[in-house]
Parts: sequence; structure tokens; C-alpha cells
Amino acid sequence: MPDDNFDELQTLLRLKRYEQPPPEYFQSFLHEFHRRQRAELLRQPLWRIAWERTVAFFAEQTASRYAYSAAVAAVLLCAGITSMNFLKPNDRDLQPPSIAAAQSARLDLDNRPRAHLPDYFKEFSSRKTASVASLHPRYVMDTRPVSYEPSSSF
Amino acid sequence: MTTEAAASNAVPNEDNALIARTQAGDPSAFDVLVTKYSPRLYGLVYNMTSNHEDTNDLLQDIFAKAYRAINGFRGKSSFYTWIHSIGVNMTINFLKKRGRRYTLSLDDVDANIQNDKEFIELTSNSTSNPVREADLGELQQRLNEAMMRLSNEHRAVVTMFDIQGMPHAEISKILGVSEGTVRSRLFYAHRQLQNFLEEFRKK
Amino acid sequence: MSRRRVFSVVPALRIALASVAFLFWQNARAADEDALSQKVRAVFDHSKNAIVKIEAADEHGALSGTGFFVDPNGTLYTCYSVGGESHDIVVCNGEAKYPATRLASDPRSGIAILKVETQKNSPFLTLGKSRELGIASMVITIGYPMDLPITPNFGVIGGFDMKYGDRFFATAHIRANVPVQRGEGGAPLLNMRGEAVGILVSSLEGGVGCFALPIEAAEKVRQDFMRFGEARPGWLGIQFGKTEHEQNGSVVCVEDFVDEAPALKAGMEKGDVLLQVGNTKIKSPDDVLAAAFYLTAGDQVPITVLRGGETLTLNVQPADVAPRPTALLPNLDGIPLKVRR
Repeated sequence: MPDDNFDELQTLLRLKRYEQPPPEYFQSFLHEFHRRQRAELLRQPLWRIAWERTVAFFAEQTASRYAYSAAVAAVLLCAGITSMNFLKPNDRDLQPPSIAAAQSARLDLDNRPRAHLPDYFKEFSSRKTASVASLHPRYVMDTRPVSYEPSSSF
Repeated sequence: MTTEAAASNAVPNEDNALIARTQAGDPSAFDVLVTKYSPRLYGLVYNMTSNHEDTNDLLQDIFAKAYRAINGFRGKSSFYTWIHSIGVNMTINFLKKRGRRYTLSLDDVDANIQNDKEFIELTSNSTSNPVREADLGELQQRLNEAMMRLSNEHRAVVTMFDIQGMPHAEISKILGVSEGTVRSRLFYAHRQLQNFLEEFRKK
Repeated sequence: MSRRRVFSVVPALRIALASVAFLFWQNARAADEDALSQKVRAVFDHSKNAIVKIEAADEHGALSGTGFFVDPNGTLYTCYSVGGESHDIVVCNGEAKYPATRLASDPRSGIAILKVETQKNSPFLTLGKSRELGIASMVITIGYPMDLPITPNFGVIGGFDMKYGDRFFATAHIRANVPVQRGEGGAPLLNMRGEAVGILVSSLEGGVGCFALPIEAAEKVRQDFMRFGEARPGWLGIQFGKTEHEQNGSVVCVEDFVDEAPALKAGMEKGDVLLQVGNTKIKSPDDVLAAAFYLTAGDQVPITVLRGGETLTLNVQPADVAPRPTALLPNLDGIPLKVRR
């Protein structure tokens, strides 16, 4: 008959709390987290990186607030005029070539060799670009295979 | 109440302040959350996967996912519950894909265990049936194997309740099941583990 | 004729003969190349109707890949990333589009099996034997890269691997030096007879080559799903190691057994040198792991071993559950807690 007194079992289970990595592990964990965030940033579409850099550039200028706003407005206006020139009655392509070019550049970025990323990292790169890629499906070719740890028994 | 349970209720304002700052665009606030929650989440993921490398990878993914989703966090549940929920779900999905072929890679035990009251009680000569420290090591090995023989869902509740010390209510919120389900899964899992350990002792 | 005139004719003849021989040889080479390119074109023309573009959506958004029919009833193979967790699956062949459902998916081997309901017989690829391939065998892949129409690639087999970098496959994969692009996940790997011998599951860095799951592995998964509704690996309970010297071509021997090992029950003994497991000849430990994939719990498998100079074949019935390998502790007297100082 199985003994329903689980006291010793639960004590043993509680002692598993002490199975831990050394404290240095958690420090390097945070560094690794930052490194991955930076790597993920590089997967953003070119236009988004360019836009953020533009914004940051103007923000760093010592010119007055109004000059900053005016500069941003000027950039937007230029972008608007450029896109309008290309938005002729062509229903198929709803995006100006500048963004399309950025997208194809992004597609090439994605084809770069990736170093040592786990399989589920694919999830994040496609998530980030989902908003821009809404007109294009994700073209599937895994760069890392499904995998397991080696075993010496079977 | 155990320390884990106390932590989940205590200082909710600190977490909320950190989240607000992250949402406002200060990534260093999220770093504090990572530092605060990575040890607990490590324990959760590690005891479910029994593999240090997998735990490391999963933990990175869990925080990455949380960071990307932080702007949508509305505070309906505590950050503690939220991130544990993400952690448990990602770990279970990972385990389903990993299947049976894997290697146990167990972390060394921290030296502080020797100051633990229960450890001292278990091994002290003053009790009627002390466990030798040598046998304790083997018991722990067998326990780890026994844990891996449980189903992923059963291992999750044992990890959260027995190892991490979370109350039934918190576990039911994290898993999205009733407290009754949590209790019955725990009972079944304890029985199973007990049986596996009995098999070992008979040898 | 004077001697002088004879002499001048012979070298001229020699040159003429040499030129003619050279022209013949050039023609023959061109004919060879022509024959090869004709073969490749023939395989492409013959197979392309059975190879489809697959469009679907998963939690990350819309996706696009490749797949191929393997029977006239509309059964399709593709890779797991395309068909394993997606919904609203649509299969396209030229202008025609058909909805498809998922029959089975196996993340361990990296494939998914879909089905299209067809009124008429679907064109399908004949399956070949990946075992017939060797290094430098010529192969063709045909797929739908990006948003381009169906397109062929040609190359040679680079090798058969159990791992890539620090990650291990569930069974030996075919590594093909064929350039592949995104969107071709799930495309078939064809031999020069136009038979499907593999399924593209992942690319090498930079897309200069690819890994394909051998078609026999996909068929094993399909059989398991048809018979049991799930993948059913088999377990033998053998802990193996390397011998010092090669015996009958193998360096793998049985070191120990796990409790209740099916292999033990079938009469295997410690020290037996493994020569063949099922259809796979064993030369190295990798071969054993590759062969293990094809075991099915409950299906007897013949295993040939070398014992004391004699070759024996044992019929082993693999079991379902695999208790942990670490259950085999070398020192059962007591293991101290590994405490970090």
C-alpha cells in the first residue's frame, strides 16, 4: 500500500532549492540579455533604424524645441512628397519604393549567417518585423535544425 | 507562509514602479526586474528541465518575451504572476518539443544547504533514523530522475509548490486552472514520486 | 611518288587525324554535358507538378514554404516550421489553390504531414532510397523561394551528419551542397532518377547548402501516425561505448544495460560488438544513434552482434518508456551531495 505520508518526500523536494548555479551566473545572465537585445535591434527594418537615428540626432542638437519640431516636420514633409510621387495609380504596390528597398535589404539581412541562436529565437526576429512584413509572408527556411543533446544510450 | 508566497504579495508597488519606468522608456528599470526575478525563474525552469543549458536559453527567451510585451502589461495581475505564467508556458512548450532524448545536467548544490534546518534534521545523529549524507546525495539523484518521469504538467505543480514554495492560489492563477485541480495534481504527483523512490529503496 | 612528297603527306595526315579525334572528343564531352543537363531538365519537368507552394499562418503571421505530394490521395510532406503549428493552410500549384489540413507533425524529426482533399488523383513523387546516395552523388532540389515561381537547384551530396555545430539531430541527416533560399523549407531532395530521397529541413549558414531529413525517416513518422496516431520511438536500454580495435568494421560495443532493458531480455550481453541494427550497418557510435530513430516500440528489430568471434543475430523488441540513462549509476554505494565550496 502506498504510504500517503509525503513529509520526507517534500523535505527532499524543498532541499532542491539549493541546486543553483553560482551567483556570478546571474550577473553574466544580465550581460547576455543585453547582448541579445542589441542583436535583436539589428533585425529591425532599415527604415525603423533610420527613423530612430534621425529622431535621436535631432534630439541631441542644442537648437530650441521649436527648431527640432520644425526639422522633424521637414523630414516628414520630404518623405511625404517623395512617397506621393511614387504612389501613382498602381493598386498592387501600396508602398513607396524607398520602403520596398529597405524591405528587400532587410530580407538580405535575415539571410546573413546567424551565430549560435536557439531555435525559438526565430520567433523574435519575425515578431519585430511583423508590422512592416504584413504585406509579405515569412519565407521559411530554418537556419538551425531541431536538435537534442547527445546521448550514449539508446 | 513561505518566503516565496510572502514575496509575491509584498512590495507590489516596487514592481509597479519599475514597470511604469520601463513603459516610459527606461530600459534600466527592466534590468532591475531581471535581476530580481531571474533567480526564482531559474529555479522554476531548471527543476522542470533538469538541464542547465536549456534553462539558460529558456530564461533568456522568457525575459525577452516579457520585455517585448511589457508595454501591454496593464497590471491586472502582479508582475510576479505574469512572468511566472510566461515562464511555465514557455517551459512546457519547450519540453513538449524536446521529447525524451536529453541529458540531465544538474547544478551543484549550494554550500548553504548545510545551514538549512531541515537538512540538519535529516542528517543529524540525534534523530531516530538519520539519513547519511552520502545516501542523501543518491536520494537526490533518484529524486531528480523521478521528477523527469512525471508528466510536464505534474512536474510543474511539484516544482512550484514543493520546491518554490508557492501557495495553491498562486499556482492556480499562473496555470489558469482551479485550486482543486492544483491540489489533485499535487497529490497524484506526490504519490508517483513516492513510488519511484520506494522502488529505489527496495534495491 | 618521290620520298619527299610522302614525307610531307604523313604529317599532314597526322594533323588531320588528330584534329578529327579532337573534334570527336569535344563532341563526346558536349554530349555528356548535354545528357546531364537533359537529365536535370527531365527530372524538373517530370516532378514540378507534384511540388507545391504552401501558404499558411501561425502565431507570428503569414508564412510561405514548399511541400510535395507523395501519393495520389493528396498526402503532402513539408517541414515542421511550415506545416507543424500553422493554420489556414493553402497549397498552390501554379494558379490552382487548395485548402489543406494537417494529418501529423513531429517536431523531433522536423516534418509535418498535410492532406489536400482532391477530386482527381494528385500528381506525386515516387520515393527513392536515401541509402543509395553517397558522397558526391548528384541531387536536385525543387522549391518555391521567396515569391518566385517553382525553381530547381542542382548540387552534390556533401555528407551524412548527426550534428551541426553543437546541436545534434534525432537521426542522420543528408547534407547537400545545393544552394537553398528562404521559402524552400519542405522542398524535396531528388536523386537523378527523379525519386524523392529527402525533405529540406534547414539550411547551412549563408544558404550554401542544406540538411534534408532522409525520406525513410519521414516514412517512419508517417507509418507511426497511421498505426498509432503518434510518433512511437522504440527503446532498447543499451549503454554503448567504443572498442579499442575495429572488429568487422565496427568500433561500437555494449558497455552495460539499463534496468529492464529489452536488449537484455533478447539475449544481448555486455561486450557484444554491434554490427547492424535493423537496416543500418554500424561502424561508429553515430551510426547507432542514427539507427535508433527507426526503432518502433513493439516492432521486433534484428540486431547483429559479434560475440567471441561469432556473428549472432538477435530479435529484439524495443519498449516504449525510457527511464533515464543516469539511472545507471556506476557507484551504488552512496554518492555525496556535490556541494560547491
